[in-house]
Amino acid sequence: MTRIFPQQDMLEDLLNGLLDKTLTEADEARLARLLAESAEARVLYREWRELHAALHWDYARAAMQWPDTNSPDQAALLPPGPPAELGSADQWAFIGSPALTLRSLLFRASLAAAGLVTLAMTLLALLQLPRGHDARPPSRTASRVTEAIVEVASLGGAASWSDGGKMVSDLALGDRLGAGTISLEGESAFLTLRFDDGTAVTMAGEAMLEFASRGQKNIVLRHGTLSVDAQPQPPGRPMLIRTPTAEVEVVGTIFSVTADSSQTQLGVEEGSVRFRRLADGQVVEVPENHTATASLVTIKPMAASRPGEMLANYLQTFDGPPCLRCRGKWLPAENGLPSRARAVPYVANRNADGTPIVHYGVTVRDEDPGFVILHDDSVVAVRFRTATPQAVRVMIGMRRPGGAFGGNFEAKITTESAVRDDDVKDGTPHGWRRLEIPVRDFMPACPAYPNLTPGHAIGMLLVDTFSNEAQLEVAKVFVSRPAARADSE
Amino acid sequence: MPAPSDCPPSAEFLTQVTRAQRSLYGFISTLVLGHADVEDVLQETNLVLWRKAAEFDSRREFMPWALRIAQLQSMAHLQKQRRRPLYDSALLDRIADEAVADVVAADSRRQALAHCLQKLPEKHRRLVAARYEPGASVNAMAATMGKQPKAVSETLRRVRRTLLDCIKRSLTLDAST
Repeated sequence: MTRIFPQQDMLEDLLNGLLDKTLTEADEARLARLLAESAEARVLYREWRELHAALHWDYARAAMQWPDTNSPDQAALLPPGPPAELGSADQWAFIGSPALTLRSLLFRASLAAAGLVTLAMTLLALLQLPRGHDARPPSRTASRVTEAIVEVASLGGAASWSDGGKMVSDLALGDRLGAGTISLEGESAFLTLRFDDGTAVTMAGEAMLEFASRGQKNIVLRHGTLSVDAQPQPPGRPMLIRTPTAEVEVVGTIFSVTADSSQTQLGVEEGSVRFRRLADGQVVEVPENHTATASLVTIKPMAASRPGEMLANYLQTFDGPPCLRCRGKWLPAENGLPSRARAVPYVANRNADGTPIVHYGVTVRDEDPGFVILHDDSVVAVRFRTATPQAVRVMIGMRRPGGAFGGNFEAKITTESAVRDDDVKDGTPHGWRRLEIPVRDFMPACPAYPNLTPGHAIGMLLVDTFSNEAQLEVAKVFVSRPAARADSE
Repeated sequence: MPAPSDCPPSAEFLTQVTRAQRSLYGFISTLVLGHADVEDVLQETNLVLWRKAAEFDSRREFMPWALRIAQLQSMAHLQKQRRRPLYDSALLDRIADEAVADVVAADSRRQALAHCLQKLPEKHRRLVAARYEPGASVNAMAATMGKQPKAVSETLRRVRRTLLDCIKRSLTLDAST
């Protein structure tokens, strides 16, 4: 040992006593004085404290690495003299039951390996470590990594996972999950699962899927929308996605699938996909920039087609039959009021204890995957009213060409900041207001999708509040470019 | 309006926080004594990092920023404690400043430790394992063994010194190669 400090032996006695809590008050005062007076003493202090901390932190891993008995360096590493105070029998005595200790070490080592090597130690899990315990508890996240095959790579809203036995109702970014079922709640929710080969599967909106990977990736989409960015799959082991009405076979491509109990829509952005209608077994190859639909009806042959040019303007006035893919309570025109949709509750997120965070919203959806192309100069206009002054959010869910999820973007306003828009002919004020939001004013709802890209389509438009007292009603949604607005005026 | 949890910190930010845990724990240990207290401060630090995620400028270095937050949380924690602090605030500031400046070297030392632990004789490794078993203390070890705490602590001191010497040698060797 090289002494770098004249009183090093005394200092190390004090430092060692500090770690083992054997110092008297006088010792502590002496240590504080030495540290205040000497930079070298503080260097030693730091080294000892860090060693102590690292041993606490890495205890399991360190303890599990048994010696290499042939290590030529071992003799050189022995302390200056053998610890005469402790015989081997003593050591076993204070270790306690060797079997129990070893079990404990094995358990801790597995947790440490899982927790430290992977993103199982996400911040959320770290925040949930119990306080005031000397023991590092088993990580909640670590329990999820048994045979983990995917990682949660992006997440907004409430998502839960179950393998039929365990259930985790508050998934977090970085969680590693084994085969199971994912349920996504809420209009604005999205979640990306990344397999170990980099294949990413993104669910958006209300959706439920099951996933497994036994030699090949298997996904069952019960309902909802799924975007897949698939890495090349091993020969003879394509990724399989099954819906209630179709099966998709993937060897490596980018595409999206939207499914409910009666129909599956497929849009391919890159590469090609083999698409099979379950009702009659018909198969069609869907190439890049094409779409196909499979339903329970088999009268017409299934075919891949290039989607038509998407419009740059879209108007929804709720005056026809309620649109099937919209959400809200449809109210017909009456007593001077226009036809409209009233906000209905939906689960926007969940608290740590699993209780829902409820928002109240009207959602507009139309043709899948998107219903209006967004341009630099597009404006989203909404005519709405609330019973009380409230904050209102307008969110647009974007789809890339081919239908893959392109992120959610939002603009928040207060009712007072929207201009009054009552019908002057009626004469009775009903509290209608109009807001117009240029596309540049929408902000990303999550950094994972930072850019609102012109040329992408709006797949979902949500107007919501967090309060039921608002009784939000939406009478008109208009997405348009300047020329169309001029025409409408 | 909508819950902030609608938009968690970016994956990049979370990765940085995750990677920093061990360093933060080591750093906090230089200011706050007691494993449970260090855990508490680490947890509070993580909460603050989470809350301030949006304020973090990704062009800046993450670690110095996170260490400063950990320092503030450590100081706040010490102020809340009823017992007399071991060091005055000037000394704590000095220790913290020097630890921030030394964070890269500290990381290297921690990495070298794993290698050095493997080289310990088995009986010493068992001693370390017993000492750092969750909930363990020198007093409890001594009571089980029928020894004085000072005697057990003295043996641990030799093992710790062995580890520190090994770490230093490893780093010197690395530097020369």
